[in-house]
Amino acid sequence: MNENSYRIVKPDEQYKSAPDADININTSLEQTQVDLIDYDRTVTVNLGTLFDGERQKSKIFRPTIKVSYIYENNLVGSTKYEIFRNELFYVNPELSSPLLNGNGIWSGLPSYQEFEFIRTDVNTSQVNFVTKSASSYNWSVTLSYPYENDYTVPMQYFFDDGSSLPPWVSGDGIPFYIENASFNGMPTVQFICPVNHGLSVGEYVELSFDYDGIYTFQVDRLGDGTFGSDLYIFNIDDVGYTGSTFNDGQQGVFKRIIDITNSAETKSKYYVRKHKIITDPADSIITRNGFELNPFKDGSGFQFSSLTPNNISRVAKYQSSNTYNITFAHDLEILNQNDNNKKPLSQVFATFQNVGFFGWFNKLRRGWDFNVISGSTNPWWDLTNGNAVENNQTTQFQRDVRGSTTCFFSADCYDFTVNLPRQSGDTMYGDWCEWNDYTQTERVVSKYLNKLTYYQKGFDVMGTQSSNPLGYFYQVHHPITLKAFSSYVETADNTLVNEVPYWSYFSNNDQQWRWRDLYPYGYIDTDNVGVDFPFLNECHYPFTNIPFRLFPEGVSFDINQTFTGFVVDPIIDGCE
Amino acid sequence: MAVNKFRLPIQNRDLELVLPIEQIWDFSGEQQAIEQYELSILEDILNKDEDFEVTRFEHKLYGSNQSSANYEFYLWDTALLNYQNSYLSKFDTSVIYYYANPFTKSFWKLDLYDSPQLRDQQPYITIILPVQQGGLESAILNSTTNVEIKKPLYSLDYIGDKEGFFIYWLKKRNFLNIDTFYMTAKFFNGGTGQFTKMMTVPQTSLSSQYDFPPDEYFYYKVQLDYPSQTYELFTYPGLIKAGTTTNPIKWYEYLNP
Repeated sequence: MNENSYRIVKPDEQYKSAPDADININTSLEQTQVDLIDYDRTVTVNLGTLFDGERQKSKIFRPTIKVSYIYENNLVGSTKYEIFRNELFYVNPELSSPLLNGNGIWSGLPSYQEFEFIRTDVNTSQVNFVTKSASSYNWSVTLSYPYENDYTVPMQYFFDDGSSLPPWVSGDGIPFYIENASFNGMPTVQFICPVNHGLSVGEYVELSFDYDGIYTFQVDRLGDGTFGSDLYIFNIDDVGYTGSTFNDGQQGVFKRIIDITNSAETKSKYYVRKHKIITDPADSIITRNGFELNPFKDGSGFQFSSLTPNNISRVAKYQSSNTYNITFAHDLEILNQNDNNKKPLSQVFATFQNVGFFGWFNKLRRGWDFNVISGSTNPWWDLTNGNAVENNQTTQFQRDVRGSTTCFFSADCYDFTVNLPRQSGDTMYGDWCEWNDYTQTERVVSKYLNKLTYYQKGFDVMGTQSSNPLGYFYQVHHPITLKAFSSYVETADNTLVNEVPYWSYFSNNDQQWRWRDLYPYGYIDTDNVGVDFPFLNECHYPFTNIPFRLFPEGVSFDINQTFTGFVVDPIIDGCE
Repeated sequence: MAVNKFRLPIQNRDLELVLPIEQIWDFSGEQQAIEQYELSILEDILNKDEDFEVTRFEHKLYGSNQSSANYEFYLWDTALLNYQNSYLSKFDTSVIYYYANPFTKSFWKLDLYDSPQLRDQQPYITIILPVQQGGLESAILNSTTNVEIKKPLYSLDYIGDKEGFFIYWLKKRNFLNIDTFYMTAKFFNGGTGQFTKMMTVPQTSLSSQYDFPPDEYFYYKVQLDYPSQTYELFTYPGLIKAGTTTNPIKWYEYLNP
C-alpha cells in the first residue's frame, strides 16, 4: 500500500443508501528525537588531563617486587648423607676429622645455596641441575588474592610450658585468659590475649561466657602498665563480681563491639582469609639485584682439606646478603574482581613458598605468628598436629647414602621430600583477620606463617628423633597495594540507593549507606593513604619492597618488627 | 491550535490537507562523533599512550633441558695465518691476564636487524658481550708462568655468564610487530679503537674471498616466540639450529682486501 496516497470517498457514496456524515482523519506523528546539545566545541589541550584520564582508566598492572632477603642460618646439624655432608660449613671440624682422631660425625651449617632464591651450584650431584630452574629449586613466588573468608579454621595457642588455651576456630573471636589485678587500688579483671586485641577504651567485648546472663562488658582500660601491654591486655573494672566467672585462669574468646547501642552492626567478625593463586610459578622472573645487598655480612670460611670429610679444601659459604627483584612475565589485569569482603580488589599478595627441591626439608607446616614462641619450640608445629599441615602437594625421590638412585638397605636409603609449588587456581589459607561492617575496615590479627623443618634423617639438628623438630619460619603472604580506600567512611541517605557504590553497607540502625571511597590513582590524603606509582605504557607499575625474613626457631624475635623501623633523632638530647 | 487533530467538514469541492511539520534535524550520534574526533585530535597532538615495555626473551630449551646460548669467535692471527679462538691474536698475554685497559675496553657487539638486505635493513637491538665473560685457555706469562686467560668462547645461560643471554624486546606486538631478526657481529678492539666485522664462515674457505653475496655470510637468524617469550638461533640462509652446545654460533674475522 502506498501510504503517501489517500482517496477520500464521501460517506453517502460508500455504499447504497449510506448516510451522509462528517469525516475525521487522525494523523499520528511519531518522532525519534535526540536533544541537540549546544556547547562550546573547543577543547583545552592538556597533557596532564589526558594523562590522568588514561591513568584512571587503565586496569593493567605490572608489579615489581624487591625482596630484601634476610635469614640467619644457625641451626647446626649433622648428616651421614654424603652429598649434604660434603657441602656443610663445618662447625668444630677438628672434633670430626678422623685425621685428628675425631669422631667422624661431621656437623655444621648447610650451604647458603639451600636458602637462596637463585641457586648457582650447577655441579651438584643431588639433582640433574637445569639452569633454567635455578630460580625455582628453592622458592616459588606467585601472586594471589584473598577471595573468601573461612570462619572455621581450627586454632590453638600454646604457652611456654606446653599448656594451651582451649582450641577455637577462627570465627569465634580472640582468645584470652583472665588474671585479677588492681588499678589504683581498685580491683580490675585483666583479659590477656595472645594477639593484638584491637580494642579501644570505651568499646565493648562480647564474651563467650556470661555473668548473670550478661555477655557484653565495656573496656575500661588497656594494658597492665608495662610497655606495649596495651595491645594485648584489656581490663574491665571489677565492680564486685561474685562467683567464679572472672576467677584467675578463666579462659574464653571475645568479639569486639564498637557501639553497645548498635551491637549487631558494630560487632567484628573474625576469619582466615583464603587466597587464590593467580599466576604460575614460571611467570615469575626472579633476578639478583646487581648492586644491592642487605646490610648484613655474608658468612663464609675456608675449609682446609684435612678438616673436610672428602679431603678437598674449599670456601664454604653459609649465608649471603643478596637481594632480588621479581617481575612477572604476564600483565595483571584487574577488571571486576572482588576481594574476600566483596569490595573491589585493592591488594594482591606476593605469596612465597619454599620448594626445597634438593630434599633438605619436610612437608611444609602452617600456622600463625601467635604459634611462635620466642626462645623455644611450640607444640602447635608438632608433626602429630594435623591442623598444622600445609595443603600443598609434595613428591618424593630416593637416594642411598652416597647419592646413588639405587638403594638396597633401608638404613642407607633417604626419602627426600619436595614441596611442589602452587599453580594458578590453587587455594590456601592466609592471615587471620578482623572485619567490622560499621567501620568498613579489615585488620590483620595474626600473620600466616609457614615453617620449614629439616628432614631429620638427612640433616639432624636435634640429636634425637623428634616429632617437633626445629626449623625456620617465614611470612607467606606479603601485600602489594594496587588501590587505596579512603581513610574516612562515607555515608548516604537510604533513598540514594542508585548513587552508592555496590560495596556499600546498609546500616539499619542509622538508615544509612556506609562505605569507603576508592581513591583515584595519584591521590594521597593527609593520612598518607593512597597510591601514586608510575603510570606509563598504559600500565600501572606498583613497586613493593618486601623484607623477606627467615626466622630460625628457638631464637628470640618478633615477626611484627618492621625491617625499616628506625629510631627517630631526639629533639632535645639523648636522655629522651 | 492542536495540530494533531483535524476535522474535515463536507463541502462541495475537493479538499486539501496541508500538514505544516517543521523539522530541525541533525545527524544522530553527531555529538559522539565529535567527541571521538576530539579524542583523535588530542592523541595526535599529545601522542597516544603506547606500550614500550620490554620483556626478556630466553634462549629456548633444547636437548636435555639445556638452555645455554653458545658463541665462538675466531680472530685472524697474522703470525700463524689462520683463525684462532683466542684473544692472543690481538693482545699480549699480559694485557689479557692483567685485564689491562686495551683488553677490558674491548667487546663483542651483536646487532640484530630486521632484514639481511643492506639496502632496507634497520638495526633494532644491540647485544654487548664483554670480554670478561667467556672461557679460559692456558697461556704463558712472561715466558715463565703458566696462567689461565680469557678466550672468546661464550656459553651464556641463566646463571654464570648471563650478560647477552637474554634478548630484551617489546612485550607487545602492536607498536612493532617483528619476530625475526638477523644478527651480525663486530669486535671492538680497545687497543686500536677499531671495529672488526665478523663473518659466519672462514673467509679463507670461500672460493672468491672478496666477492660474495654479503647477506649469505654475515648473518645468523634470530627467531622470537612471543607466547613463550623465548628465542632460537639459526644459521642463515641454511636455517639449521645454532647456538647449541653441539652447534655453537661461530664468527670469523672478516679480512679486508
